[in-house]
Formats: sequence, structure tokens, C-alpha cells
Amino acid sequence: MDVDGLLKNVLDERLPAEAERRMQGRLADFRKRIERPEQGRQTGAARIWQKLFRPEAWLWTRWIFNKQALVFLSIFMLAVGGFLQATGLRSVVAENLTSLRTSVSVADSIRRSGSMECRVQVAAKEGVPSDYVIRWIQPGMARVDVQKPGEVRETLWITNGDLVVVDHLKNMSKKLASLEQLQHSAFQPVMGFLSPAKIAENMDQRWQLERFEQETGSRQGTLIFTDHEKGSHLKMTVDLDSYLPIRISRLRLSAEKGGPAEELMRLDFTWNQPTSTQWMMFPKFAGKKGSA
Amino acid sequence: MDITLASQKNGICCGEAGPIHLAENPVPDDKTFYEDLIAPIESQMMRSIWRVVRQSELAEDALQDALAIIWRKRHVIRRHPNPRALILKMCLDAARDSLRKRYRFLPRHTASLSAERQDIADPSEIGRQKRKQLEDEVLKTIIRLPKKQAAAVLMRIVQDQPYDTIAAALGCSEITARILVSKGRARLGRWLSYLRPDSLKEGSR
Repeated sequence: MDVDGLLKNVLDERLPAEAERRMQGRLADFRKRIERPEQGRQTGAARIWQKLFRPEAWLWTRWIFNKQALVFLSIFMLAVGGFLQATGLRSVVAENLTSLRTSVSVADSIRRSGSMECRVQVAAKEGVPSDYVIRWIQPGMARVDVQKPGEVRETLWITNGDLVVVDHLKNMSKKLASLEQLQHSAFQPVMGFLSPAKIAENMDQRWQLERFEQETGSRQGTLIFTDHEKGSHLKMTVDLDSYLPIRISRLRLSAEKGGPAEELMRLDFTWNQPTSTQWMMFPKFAGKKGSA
Repeated sequence: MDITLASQKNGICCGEAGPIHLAENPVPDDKTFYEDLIAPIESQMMRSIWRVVRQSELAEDALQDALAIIWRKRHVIRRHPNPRALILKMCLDAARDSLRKRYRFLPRHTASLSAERQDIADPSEIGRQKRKQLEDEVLKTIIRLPKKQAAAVLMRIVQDQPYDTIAAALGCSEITARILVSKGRARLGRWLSYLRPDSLKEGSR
């Protein structure tokens, strides 16, 4: 079938007089309105509105949607992307997000951990260094030993809210009402690490996250925090497979900018190893009680 | 057809009863717009619209809508490499849109009115009814085409415009214009293939 012939034949251009008259009327009206516009019909506000939104006032915006401009913009953005990729510059926003995500993951893993053993070395104070061993045996149960060279001096037991301190030198035990009573004791340096919830809380609220560092190809990363209360930095080495900390170092930065940092305390963690509840058994001398 | 709505959308107030109010006061350039661009092709515009809508009232409305769009886009038209082709394309678009609205809102029983009157004794009346029916079929297939394809087919087949003019009006390359016409023509051929040659002959009388 000849489509061209059919269309030309059916849609012939013989314009009936009635239709022509009507359309002529419309054209004449349109022409009249263009050539002799009615003045002063509109209010001031309407005029301002129309001046502001008249099409020619916004002609300059058309170049934004111009096909060539969009092509140019796309090529330019691709080139910039390639350049940034090649130079190895990293986005500050992306880095902050990575730091934050890692910090949140670590805090979450710590909260969920079952058990932990942590050896703490505190820098020598008045010539005598202190060592601590913190053991989280199960949720709500923890034991902290204070060691001076060669011997265990004091032990803190935390059992479902009960706090007992044993002084091995004096063969005395003391029941405490709250952790605040340990503020000026030998346990003071490790107060922030007595439970998983405490570490996670410190990470979320007290320590300010500075940055996250990771060497290429390494499965370990380092989170740097600032502890404003104690005026020190915390360097947390994290295992990126388990998102659990391996080591935390508390550093005091030297007064000189860029100078070597002084290590105040170091904590080495061993996570989720089998632990025995015998760690929670009081020694025999613990029968001699002191006052709280 | 809702003249008021269509016209308000285009920034011009119009309709059977009401006059046209221009959306803004014309600048000096606008005063010569009609003389420069519309007056020379007035007749062509009317015929283009008529060939698609084929009804006096509808043609009037379609022209009104086309004029509203032309006025709104007058700055684009002035800068266009082929302003007259663009104006004719706008007329065809407005006509096609009017036709679509007509078929969308027309009740089914009135759409097939011509088919019900075949018992009329007068042979010339029967011929007219058959032609009307054929027109309906062709117009219904045209409005089924995509907008650009329909404009390309109508400009090429009905108005006999060269491909470069069609390309300029549609804002595409000449090759694209050829493809649009070719695809449109093929679709129309497929959709209208059920029309028997004898009905074509009778309809063309």
C-alpha cells in the first residue's frame, strides 16, 4: 500500500471557507494584540513579576542545558577525576568517613567481645614502673592485677557490680561501693579500660577521633584519638579483620612542635582466648576484711 | 476541548469568547515579529493545521494553541536557522495535540458515528461517510506515532518539505530526519495495511 499517496489523498489541503474564516479571525486578533498592546492593564506587582520571569530574562540559563556545554562539562569532570586519581590525592570527606566508620566498627566489636586479656605498662613514676594485667573473663566479670617488679601487689575483682580490692602485701580485702573510690588508688591509670563498655564509651564520647592511617596492603590500621581531659593522644592499632584493638599507646606530645612523643602507657590486648573462672576465686587470706 | 486551560498554560488568555491577552508588553522587535515571520506563511500554517485536524472548531483551537506557543518561544524562533520551518512544525505539533485530545475525550459511540449511518440511501452521502471513516482511521494512526516521528512524517509526506528543513525544525541531523520519516512511514504502512484497496478507492472519490 502506498502510504504517501494515502496520506496526501486523505489529508488533502482543501481548506473549507468556514475553517479559513475562523482561523483568519484568530490570526487577525493575534496580530492586533501584538502590534497594539493594551497598556496599563496590569498592577505594579504583576509587572514586576512579568519582568522578572519574562523568557528573555532567563535566556542566559539556556547555555547550562546546551548539549555542547553538557558534553564539555562531562569531559572536564572525567579529566579532573582522572587527574585526581593519578595524583593520588584523597578526598578529605572520604577519609573522614573511613575514619569514622572504622572507629564505630571497632567500638562495636569491643562491645560484642566475650573475653580479653590486656597487659598494661605504665611509664615509671618516681622511678618505679607499674604493670597491670586486666582480664575480662565474661560480661560483668573482670579482674585487674597491679604488679610492681616481680610481684602482684593489689587485685581488683569486679563481679556483677560488686567491687573488691585485695592488698596482697597487707593480706587485706576491701569491698567498695563504687568505682569512684578507686580514683586515687593504684588502679587509677587503667580506670578507662575496666570493661568493654567503658572503652567503647570513651571512644564514642571522650576521645576525639583525629584520623585513621593504614599502610597499603596491611591488614592493620591506626586510629588516632585526642583525650582532651588528660591532655594526651591515643594511638590505637587495630586488626582490620576482627576490628579489635591490638595495642593502645597513650602519648604525651612534646612541647616542641614535631618533637618526639613521650609514651605514657601501653596496652597490649589478646582477645577472645579461653579463660578460666579460677581467676575470679579470692585467695585464702581474703578473709581478713578491711573497711570500705 | 479545554481552551482556557491550554491557553493559560501557554501564558495567553484566549478562547471563543475572550480576546488574547499577551503575557507581556511587546518590545519593538516583537512588533515586527508577525510581519516578518508569520504573515508570509499564514496560509501555510492554516492549511498545515487543517490537514491534520480536519474540523473547523478544532482547527481554530489548534491554531490558537500554536500561536500561544509561537509567541512564548519567539526568541528561540528568531535565533533559529529556519524560523519558518520551526513555526510550521509548532503548528503541526499543536494540531496533533488537539487531535489526540479530541480522540481521548470523544465518546466511543460518536467516534463510530459515520459507521452507523451506512443505511443512508443517497450514494454521495454514503461516499462522504466512507471518506470520513477513512480519515478517522488515518488520523488515529498518525496520533499513535511518537511526537517527533509524527512531525517528520507530516512535514515530509503532507507538506513536501525537504529533509534539511525537517532536520532544522526538529533540531536533529538530516540523517536522523530521514530515519524518523522512514520509520514513521513503515509504521503507518503496517498499521494501515488492513485497509482494503477498494475502500481506498471509494474514500478517495
